[in-house]
Amino acid sequence: MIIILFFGIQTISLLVLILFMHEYKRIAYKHQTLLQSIEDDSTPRSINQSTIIIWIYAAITFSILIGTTFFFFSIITSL
Amino acid sequence: MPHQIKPESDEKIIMAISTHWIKYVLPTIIFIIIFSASTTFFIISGIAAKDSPVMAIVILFTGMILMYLVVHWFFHRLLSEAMEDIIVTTKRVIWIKESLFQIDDVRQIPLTNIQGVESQKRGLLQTVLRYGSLWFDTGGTITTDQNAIMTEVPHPNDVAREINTIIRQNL
Repeated sequence: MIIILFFGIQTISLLVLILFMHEYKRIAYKHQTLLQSIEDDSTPRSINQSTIIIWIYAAITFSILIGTTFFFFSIITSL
Repeated sequence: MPHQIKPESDEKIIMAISTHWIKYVLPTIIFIIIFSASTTFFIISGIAAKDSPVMAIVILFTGMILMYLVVHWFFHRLLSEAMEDIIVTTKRVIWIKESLFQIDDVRQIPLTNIQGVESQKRGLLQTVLRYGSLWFDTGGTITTDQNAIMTEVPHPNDVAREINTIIRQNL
């Protein structure tokens, strides 16, 4: 039961990450389209910043996921 | 194609900037504080694991949920703040402000409608870090009209000077 709850929380967290990444990609595409409709080969400044942010976001989320899983199972095995 | 702006003839992009990095400071401070607090839950959980494993799991779950909440909140805020673009072309000023699942604003002011642009830097922080706001005088706007004000613009004096130059050239 507790293992199901644990993986439920992890799954929800991953889904939120995917949802935010999907929305980010949609907005980034929209900004790029807007700018390129005026001038080809131009990239919005916001994309440079948000690309770095999205990678940090994914790295932190996966770090928490791996860290908490390791920690959780080390407690479970001691039960 | 969705959201496409119809380009005018001979339209060229003069500058495409984002708002100042100061927008990230407050969310980052809040994030660091809450993230550190949630880390202490893991430390307490580790200490409690020897004597009371059930209590250790409860504390671990609390810390984990708090940590995920603050991480998702923080990056939602960061990505929302990052998605702001200010584009100045030879024909207009475009301001795109987006927030994940919340805000979707595209504001365009044709240069022919702008009579002048004023830049403002208020306080020590704005003066030292070189950011401020731009107010677009379109004839009928007042200085407190939020639709005519762009906030957190980096180097507002330079941007205002550039726009005023283009306006004069178009006259």
